[in-house]
Amino acid sequence: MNAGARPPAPEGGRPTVRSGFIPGAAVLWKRELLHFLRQRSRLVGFIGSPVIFWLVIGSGFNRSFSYIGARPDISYLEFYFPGTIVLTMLFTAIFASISIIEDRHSGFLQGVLVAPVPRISIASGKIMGGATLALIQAVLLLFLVPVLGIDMTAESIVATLLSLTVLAVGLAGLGFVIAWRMDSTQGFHAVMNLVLIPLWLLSGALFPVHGAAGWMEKIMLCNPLYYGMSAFRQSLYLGTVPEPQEFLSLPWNFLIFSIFSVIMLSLSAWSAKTRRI
Amino acid sequence: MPDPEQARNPEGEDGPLALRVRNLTFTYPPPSRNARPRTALKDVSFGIPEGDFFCILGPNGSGKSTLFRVLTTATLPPSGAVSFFGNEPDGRLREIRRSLGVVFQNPALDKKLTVDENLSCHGKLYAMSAESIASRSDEILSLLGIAGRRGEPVETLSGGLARRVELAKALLHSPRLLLLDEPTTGLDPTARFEFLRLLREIRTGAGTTIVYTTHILEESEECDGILILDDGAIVASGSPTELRSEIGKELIIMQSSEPSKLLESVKQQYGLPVYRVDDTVRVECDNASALIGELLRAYEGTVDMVSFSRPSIGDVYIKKTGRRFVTNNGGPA
Repeated sequence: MNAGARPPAPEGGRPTVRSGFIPGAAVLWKRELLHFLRQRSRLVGFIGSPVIFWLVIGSGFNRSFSYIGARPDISYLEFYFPGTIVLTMLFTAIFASISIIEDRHSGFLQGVLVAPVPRISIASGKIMGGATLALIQAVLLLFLVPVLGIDMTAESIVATLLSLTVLAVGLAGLGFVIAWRMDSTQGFHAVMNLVLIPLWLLSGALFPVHGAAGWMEKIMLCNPLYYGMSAFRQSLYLGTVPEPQEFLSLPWNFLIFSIFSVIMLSLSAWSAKTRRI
Repeated sequence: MPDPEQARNPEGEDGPLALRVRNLTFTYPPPSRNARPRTALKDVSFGIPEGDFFCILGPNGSGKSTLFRVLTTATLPPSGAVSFFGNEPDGRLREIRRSLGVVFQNPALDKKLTVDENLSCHGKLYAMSAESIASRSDEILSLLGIAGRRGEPVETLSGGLARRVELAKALLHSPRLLLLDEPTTGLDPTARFEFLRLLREIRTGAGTTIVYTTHILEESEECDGILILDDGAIVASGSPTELRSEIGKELIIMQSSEPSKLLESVKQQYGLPVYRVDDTVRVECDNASALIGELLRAYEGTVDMVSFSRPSIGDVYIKKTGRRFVTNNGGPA
């Protein structure tokens, strides 16, 4: 080490917002991916359990299911498939959020918080990391689509990927907002069972909104995840006749869930800025 | 007590200070409605000259950790209370953070990542280029003697090695000021000594100002400046020599079953600085060898045991607070 080893003086006074934002977010994003690759059991866990649920519940209800206004030949296995993908993404986003609490406990986060990076890039890196992992797993599951006999066109593939992207970002953002202020993973498990799983149950993943009891239909329509779920389901069947019947059309569903995702991102940035270490 | 800033830095305001703390009071909000707010730091003021090897000493609960959090910018104090190299965090926070290297008490390493990956992650957060991360890593890892372990995940390293990686990380971006919170926690005495030796070497080599906290008295003896904190306030500050010179050259410690009686008597007879701590009476003097015999003869039967020592930082603490410096293990130091 030589005596001249000094940090470069920031040119022209104050550093700009740009400095540190992209590299800061990118390195935290990369860290999430490295973690995932080092813990392959996570992949098995997050894809494995939803797929087992899918096979068991899907096959169990297979013939005793009819879907008002949809193809008469749709099986429950097929209906429940998009729900399985969203559940996988939810699990991944939840785990990514729990890792924030773990980072806080392990001490890693305090090192990041005193680094010269804006808090917003810490939030972005974490959320994008979780969202990327969720998206990768969703895409892996999409390879099952031909098995189900769904004919996907270039158009529907693009729409599906877009829907999955906003879903991944929205769920990871929601997880971040909840986890950032929490001090214990136990507390997060409580939130997961009380809030996150019910959000999924009432998203139209398990049963269509049109067949539900009136009061439940109203609750489902208040659930932001319903719109994300619907956008994804409609994208998957884009161009096929008849389209899955949902409360709103694909563009509206997509727009509503995108707004939800943007709100989650803004809340995350705000949370990251306001909590003391 | 001399003004702590003046004592350490005769040039006062104009001297090149790495750190300057002025009238810092820090109160934690009450944990519940009926509880009282807790004041962790009370009107703390001091300055640390650039290039110093500086120790913040205090027992557990003395306010060290709160002070450390303020010095690392993890907690922002009211404006004007702290300045770094003449800059205040208001508006220049990121610039200041870039000049600080921080080693927390809890390891801030990612255990799943390798040593190299941890360093690279840190470098990117400090806006370093890939080339400078690579060259600085080589330099620091070989300085700290861990170059051979760079490809291994941190979770496979021993506590002492992980501590060095922690230090490598904090030094990677060539900070001007290195802050360490109880850096030797969990290390055995040999590793502890070795770690402090490394720190001194770094200070000498790169001229980095180093500030560390500790609750271990021996770790404060060989620094340039010490700040002793007790119950949120500064009880003493200065160089070890300055502090020790506040006590006479030598110290006679007498254990007695009637300490208060002994105290009064010695005070009247000899006119030396005398004070009592628990069941001992301490006499500051310049000629212990002669005085010990005299005291023993004069108080035969009252004194159960007598000992002699050259003043240590622990004795300074005892003099200032009237209490023994209690270490983590619960025993007096």
